[in-house]
Amino acid sequence: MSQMMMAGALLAVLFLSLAAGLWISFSLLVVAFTAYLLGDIGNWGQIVATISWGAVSNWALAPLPMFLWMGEILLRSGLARNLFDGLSVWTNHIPGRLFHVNILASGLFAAVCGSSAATVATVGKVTLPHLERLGYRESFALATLGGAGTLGLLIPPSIMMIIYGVAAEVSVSRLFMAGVFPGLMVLLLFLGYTMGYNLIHRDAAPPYDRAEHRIGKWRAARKLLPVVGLVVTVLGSIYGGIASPTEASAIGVLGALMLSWFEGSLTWRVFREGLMATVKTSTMLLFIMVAAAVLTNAMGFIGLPRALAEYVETLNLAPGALLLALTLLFIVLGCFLDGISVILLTTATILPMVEGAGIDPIWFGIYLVIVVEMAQITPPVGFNLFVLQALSGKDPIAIARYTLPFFLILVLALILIWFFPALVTWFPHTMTAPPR
Amino acid sequence: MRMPSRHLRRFVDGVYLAAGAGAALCLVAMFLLILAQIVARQLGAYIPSSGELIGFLVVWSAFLGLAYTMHQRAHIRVELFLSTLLPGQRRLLNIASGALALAVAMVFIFYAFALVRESFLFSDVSDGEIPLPLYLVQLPMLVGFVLFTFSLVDYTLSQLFASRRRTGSSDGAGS
Repeated sequence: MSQMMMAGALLAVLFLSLAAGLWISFSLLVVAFTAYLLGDIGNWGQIVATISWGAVSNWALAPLPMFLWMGEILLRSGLARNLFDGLSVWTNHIPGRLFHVNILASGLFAAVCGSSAATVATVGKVTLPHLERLGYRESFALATLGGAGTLGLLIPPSIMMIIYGVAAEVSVSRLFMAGVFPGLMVLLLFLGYTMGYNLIHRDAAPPYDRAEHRIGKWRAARKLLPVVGLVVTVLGSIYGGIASPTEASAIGVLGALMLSWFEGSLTWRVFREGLMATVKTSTMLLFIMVAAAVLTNAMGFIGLPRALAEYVETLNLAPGALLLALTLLFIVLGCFLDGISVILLTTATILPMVEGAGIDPIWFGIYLVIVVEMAQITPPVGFNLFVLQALSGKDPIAIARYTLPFFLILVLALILIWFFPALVTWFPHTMTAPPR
Repeated sequence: MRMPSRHLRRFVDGVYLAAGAGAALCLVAMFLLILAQIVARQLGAYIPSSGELIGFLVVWSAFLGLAYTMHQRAHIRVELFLSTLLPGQRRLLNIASGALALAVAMVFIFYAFALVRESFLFSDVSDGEIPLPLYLVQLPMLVGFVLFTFSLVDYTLSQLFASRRRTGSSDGAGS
């Protein structure tokens, strides 16, 4: 069977199983098994067992459950409430006023939580009812939240970066640091757009009301201190080379437990619920990673990634043209697939091609995370849209239309990191070598 | 179809929960072990095999949690096309998905068993400073997967025998 036909058959199997609603992990396994059978690989069952064992018995994967747990603890604490109170006083005089709270709170929450959907849900639960009560335009409140929630993936710690780092064998510490400046850049672009929008649409936000000010600026800042301290400790220790991501994640969990303990929100019930929610998400993700590792192995056996890389080499594409084509492909894929599948399918099949084109794997990781962020807010399948639908009761397609400008800002971010790759690559170079 | 005895249902759910709690314990142990590693390093000491053990805890938590995660419908799937179908058609696809997943799981169990058996027969030990019998370390993977397979049977049967009224709410809560 020719390689082209095989690739076509595998792609068909993948889309059929996914469309039929087969779990993503099993869909990847079915494709892998088909590839083993088509490629006539002997002993593949034994290979599957060995790969599955090896794929997750990995010290470097420990940050995945740990950072998930940290987020689960914090989203059950009063953190989102404190972020709202602490930030609202500071943004009240800027055009766009409390809309900025959505963005800044998402950005800060993203720095203690690795997931985008959790960021939207946690911040939105507090801010949306508030903004609505004060008379802010709902469509723009949903837009800022949906857009800024995607920062959960780009601002470290990020579950997507851990997954990419482990699957592509790239340092997770460096990926985290590479995400810092693009994350801040996207945050600033969001804030800038929000200001501009509100300068044009004067009626989107209600007029300034002194009665809203219940606390002073410095008391408000004090409310932000614990979370800022936690961010600095976790990310600072990775940057300074003091801690590996694994160690930093455990310190993060400890900090989150202490933070919610001193705040008085840590009960046995909250602890248990947070832990069991972590088990669910972490198990689900780790099993998908097992399946993806098997798929990567199967692809290696039938030589598809290599053939793909060689084919693209014969085209003599400039890296820019290749990325442009990939971006379009990812945007289409991202409409139907979730981010984890996009990342793992990429590392399983087209990473050799990308590296062959001379693209830095760390830079590509950040690029991929931004693309996946875009997938979070594109209909019909975008997790942030579903979360916002659950919070507001609005139709996901309408929410996607509101968030479209933020989607375009992410496209702009891609263009910016393409023309200024140093935005991504400079910061990780300045860090102290991470401990093993 | 009549529901199976309520006691049996409670027992099975209890088993899922117990396995989930086992996975949770692995996470807590992982957390404590990493902290202990950090403290030890500050004191100039070293916990032998701790890195390897953390890796094992990741696998154990991953596989022990599978059945609980299935029971809680937290394994993600693409619902786009499913949601456009009628409840009856959706049920049919759910049954097909369950059956296909079961077939994959059977293959997996067969070879995972072979892997553990081989480790046992050859008395393989782990690579770390403290050599642990590999079959013991690998056993939780097999146990977790057997429970997972059971939960897949449970799911498939529940879709097969679900009354029309219940199908709407009992699937679909995936993402």
